[in-house]
Amino acid sequence: MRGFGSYLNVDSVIHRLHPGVKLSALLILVSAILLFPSIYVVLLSSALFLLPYRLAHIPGAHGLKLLQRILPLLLIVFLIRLLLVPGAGEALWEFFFIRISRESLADSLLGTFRLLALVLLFALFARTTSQNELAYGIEALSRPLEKLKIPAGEFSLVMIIAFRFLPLTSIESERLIRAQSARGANFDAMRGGLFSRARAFLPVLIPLFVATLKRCETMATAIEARCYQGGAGRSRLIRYHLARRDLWALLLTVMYIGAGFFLVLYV
Amino acid sequence: MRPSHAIQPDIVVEELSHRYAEEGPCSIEEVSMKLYRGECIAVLGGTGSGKTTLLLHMAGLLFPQSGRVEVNRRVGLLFQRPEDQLFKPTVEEDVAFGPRMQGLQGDELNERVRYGCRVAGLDYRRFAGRSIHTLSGGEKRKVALAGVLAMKPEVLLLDEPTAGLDPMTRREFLRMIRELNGTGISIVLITHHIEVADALAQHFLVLHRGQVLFHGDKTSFYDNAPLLERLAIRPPFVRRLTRRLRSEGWDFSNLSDSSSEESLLETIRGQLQGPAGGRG
Ligand SMILES: Nc1ncnc2c1ncn2[C@@H]1O[C@H](COP(=O)(O)OP(=O)(O)OP(=O)(O)O)[C@@H](O)[C@H]1O
Ligand SMILES: [Mg+2]
Repeated sequence: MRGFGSYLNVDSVIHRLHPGVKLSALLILVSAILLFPSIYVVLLSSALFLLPYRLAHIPGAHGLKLLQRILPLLLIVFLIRLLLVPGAGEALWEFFFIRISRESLADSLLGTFRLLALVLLFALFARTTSQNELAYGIEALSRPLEKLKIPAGEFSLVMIIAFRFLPLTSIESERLIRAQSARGANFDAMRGGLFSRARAFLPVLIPLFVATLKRCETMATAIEARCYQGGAGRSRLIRYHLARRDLWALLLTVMYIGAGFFLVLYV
Repeated sequence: MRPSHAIQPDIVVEELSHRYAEEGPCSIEEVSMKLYRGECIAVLGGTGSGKTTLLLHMAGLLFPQSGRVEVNRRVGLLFQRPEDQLFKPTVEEDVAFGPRMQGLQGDELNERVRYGCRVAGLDYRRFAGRSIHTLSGGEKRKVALAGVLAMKPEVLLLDEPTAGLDPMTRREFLRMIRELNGTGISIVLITHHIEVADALAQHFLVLHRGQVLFHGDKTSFYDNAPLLERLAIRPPFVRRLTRRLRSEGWDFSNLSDSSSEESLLETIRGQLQGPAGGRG
């Protein structure tokens, strides 16, 4: 139950940022990472994104564990891009369909570090933003849409529920595995390779689906029973206000974009 | 009295500790206990004291992080919440899951399913085809129990089995468990109700914040006034009366802490009519 999306319940400057600001910053930074075509910018970003980790009081061990877990993935992405996408320009090395050039090497590195930067960013966001804040952030950002008669309130409720459900399915499958092994089912294969794991998981899949649907229904009833109505006129327990730190965060994000452009254009 | 140590216990737990989170608190800490064949042991303790955690270890669903759990006979676990236990779409399929995993098929399997339902007090014909989701809370509990009994376990692990049952069903349930216990099935019973524990168990295990506060037989449990006070438990009326009369000098040497109301009455009557006129 650790994995991605694990909110770290501590108090820090980053945690206290306005959810709307945090979400905007996330969106801006993600687009920037995806759009800046420069390996230097992306590399620098990866390093830069580690700074807020300190500000957010995220233990170094967490960061290391995260890196450890994504390292294989990064390697795979790097190799796939390098070996399968034939490089333009002068070939450094050629073998059948594999064709590696300076350009393809740079491209693969760029893709890999992009992924690294994105993971760092999302993990930071997930560790410092609770589900409720996320929902609020989405709602805050989508409020302008209401003016266009788009039901942003309902949309954000759907988002909250979706985010709630990710961990639910994993809890639910744990429950099912426990229930089945209590009556003699064998899940030893779960500790095997990917394929045998998938096969061992099969008997859990259908009940998981049914149970999740059932949970959906129960949750909908529970939400209704507490008089939830999306959209206008709804109040909330916690009110968020913009503070000076929020302006700083936005300013830093904009400065980052500016610096990125500068690097791309002039370096 | 407990059997001699020459006999192999059904379950041995030795200095078992478990924490759910790496740096979290201990949910159970250095718990040791034994369950001998045919015994029924009641596990008491406050909310969150680690009872379920201990039971999950006995069922092999949690592995000892430190300490040892030895299980020598086939166990069947009734979960605290029946919703956690049931996963097939219909009653029949769910009850059949366990015996099918034991390799039974056809008539034999069917026989087992009927057996499980019957002992659990569930009308097979009425319920077999019902969808699990449409059952009431108490019905779900019965189905869960039927699914366990259909596997013919030799040790029953029951996690608050009487929660949410009406008085009639609960009484039938107690009778059924006692009968099973009488046939040599050992039982670990988690409960918050002293009446339930009193009716079934000969031994008591009390947990507090994951540690064993008490482990012993029923008499020494009722003798331990500070413990009872601490648990906010009052022994059932018959036990209190027996003790009280005994302390007043009545001769109840033929009564134990498992004797029924009837035998208490019988003894009182006998002593009142007896030559000494009752009091010694
Ligand atoms: N999956 C879990 N993850 C983290 N902590 C848990 C988990 N399950 C139980 N705990 C904690 O372990 C402790 C013991 O829990 P357990 O379920 O064994 O208590 P219990 O004695 O059965 O309580 P109850 O009478 O309420 O059923 C509790 O403090 C509980 O919060
Ligand atoms: Mg419990």
